[in-house]
Amino acid sequence: MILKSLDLVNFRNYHKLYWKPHYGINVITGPNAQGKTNLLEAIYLTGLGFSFRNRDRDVVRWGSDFTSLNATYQLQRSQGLNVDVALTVDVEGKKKVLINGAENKRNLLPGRFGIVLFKPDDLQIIKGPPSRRRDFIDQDLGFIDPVYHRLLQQYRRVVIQRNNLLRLGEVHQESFQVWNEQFYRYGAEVLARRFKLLKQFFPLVREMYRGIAGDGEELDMKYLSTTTLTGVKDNEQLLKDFVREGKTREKEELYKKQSVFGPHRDDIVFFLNQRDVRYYGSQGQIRSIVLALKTAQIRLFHREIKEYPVLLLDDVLMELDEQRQNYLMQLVSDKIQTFITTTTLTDKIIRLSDRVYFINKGMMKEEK
Amino acid sequence: MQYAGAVSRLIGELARLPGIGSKTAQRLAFFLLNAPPEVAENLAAAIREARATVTRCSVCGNLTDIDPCAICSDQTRDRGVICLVQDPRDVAAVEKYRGFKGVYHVLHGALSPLAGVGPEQLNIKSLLARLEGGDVQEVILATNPDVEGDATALYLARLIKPLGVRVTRIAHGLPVGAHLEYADEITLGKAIEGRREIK
Ligand SMILES: Nc1ncnc2c1ncn2[C@@H]1O[C@H](COP(=O)(O)OP(=O)(O)OP(=O)(O)O)[C@@H](O)[C@H]1O
Ligand SMILES: [Mg+2]
Ligand SMILES: [Zn+2]
Repeated sequence: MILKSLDLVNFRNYHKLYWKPHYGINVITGPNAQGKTNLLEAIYLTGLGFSFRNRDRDVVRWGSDFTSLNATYQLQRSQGLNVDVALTVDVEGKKKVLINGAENKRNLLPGRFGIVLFKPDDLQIIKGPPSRRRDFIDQDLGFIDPVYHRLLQQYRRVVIQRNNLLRLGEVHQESFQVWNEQFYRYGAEVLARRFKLLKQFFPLVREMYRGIAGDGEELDMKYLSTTTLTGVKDNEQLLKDFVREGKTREKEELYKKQSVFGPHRDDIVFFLNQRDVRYYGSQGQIRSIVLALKTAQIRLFHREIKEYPVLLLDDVLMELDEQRQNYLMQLVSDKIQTFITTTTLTDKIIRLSDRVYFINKGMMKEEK
Repeated sequence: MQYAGAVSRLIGELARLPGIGSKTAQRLAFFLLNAPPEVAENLAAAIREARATVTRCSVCGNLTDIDPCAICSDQTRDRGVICLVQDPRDVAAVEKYRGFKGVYHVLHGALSPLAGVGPEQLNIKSLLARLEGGDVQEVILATNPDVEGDATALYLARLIKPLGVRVTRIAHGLPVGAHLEYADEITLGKAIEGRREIK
């Protein structure tokens, strides 16, 4: 997929911008706080319908009532089909998304063909709380499987509703039974889909890590479940197991007044040569694992959807050592449209870029 | 921001309406204050009249200005089939699709512990009363295709089945996350025709 054009009005510190980026490697440079990351955010937002920072309404330029973003993406397949996204957000946070002119078609957002973002705090995917790893699976990978994405939203809603009942302590109502059943059903379905997704993803991550770090280190990942359920089974069996798990945990849940098990509580652990990376991994090793996750994500999208994602690299390329930079750029080669932000423009970056854009106080100037 | 007492009260009341934030409330308030006086007076009169004359139908719960409502008193409608919906708006949506000849029952909501809505808050007792008459052969559960609507449908199915009434759920052919009131007539027609018995 390629971003063909981006049109911003009153977005963050951009008053007006009309931009036709290159289909190859776009370098976005300039001093701090000029609007480089804002530009990546605009791409991400038009691709996925939500931002990777804060609340939606924060993107409205200070002093304006609303912002509007128009983006045209082009698919590599389907004879280069265009997807037009028109998105507006007002200061109250009300958001409207039109896809090819039609409302209520969020499931057709171009992000399902892949927007891969790599930003400095992604190291937290490894070191941070479990929610960061779940978000990676659910948001970054989840788009590959639209059904998974939808089930997950429904499951989350059920968990919220069920937790409210547990909090009230009025769990003897007949309606609690109904919420339990929804919880089991969606929980089992989410797990089944997630296991399937990870079964495809883990080997790719391992392979990418070997490419990055060489043969000396063996990366392993383990799904850490709050249930006793593991592995891919048929859905019927998974549902039965989930219900059984539910029965044994009921007392604990009534006591703690919340849903204590299920895919919304699960985690993933990373091991290098059998040692838990959270405790023993070096900064460089962790960076390599994140790079492996992101590159494996690109590969998975390409394999499953037959489309290369758009790659957004926010201040991360220069943080990698020479060999890792080369590894990443080799993967990008001339197939993946890439947006790289950096404050320092080195000869090397200039050589590898197709275009360099200079950003100053929300204004853009093309350099090459 | 500080406005004179009456202005800020108007803004406050408008902001209590669903979907209206404080900015929009201000915009509406100043529109009403700047427009000719009739605009505001007509609106106030319309609200007052509707509120005074519109009640819930004692049979189906739909909003009406005569009781029983026009649909419940229409002799040509089939009382053997009840289409159960969450909102009066959903009645209007199904009515637009002219294929449905039965009658309705309006729940006025769906189960949602988050919103403090349990079975007691819904218009369920009068539904059971209707079913006890024995004339009803089928209840079509047309609650919204979201988790609250599903939970409500499941709950009601458990309640109704033992009474020997056929219970069906409209087919989820509706666009994901779409509520009944947004469904166009074709998809709604398909959803009703493709309804399935629930266990
Ligand atoms: N809603 C907004 N309206 C106007 N300006 C905003 C808004 N939100 C953020 N900004 C401004 O945008 C600038 C930050 O832009 P951005 O994060 O893109 O910087 P950057 O170029 O990526 O900098 P760095 O190199 O430090 O990462 C800041 O100056 C901030 O004040
Ligand atoms: Mg930045
Ligand atoms: Zn009626």
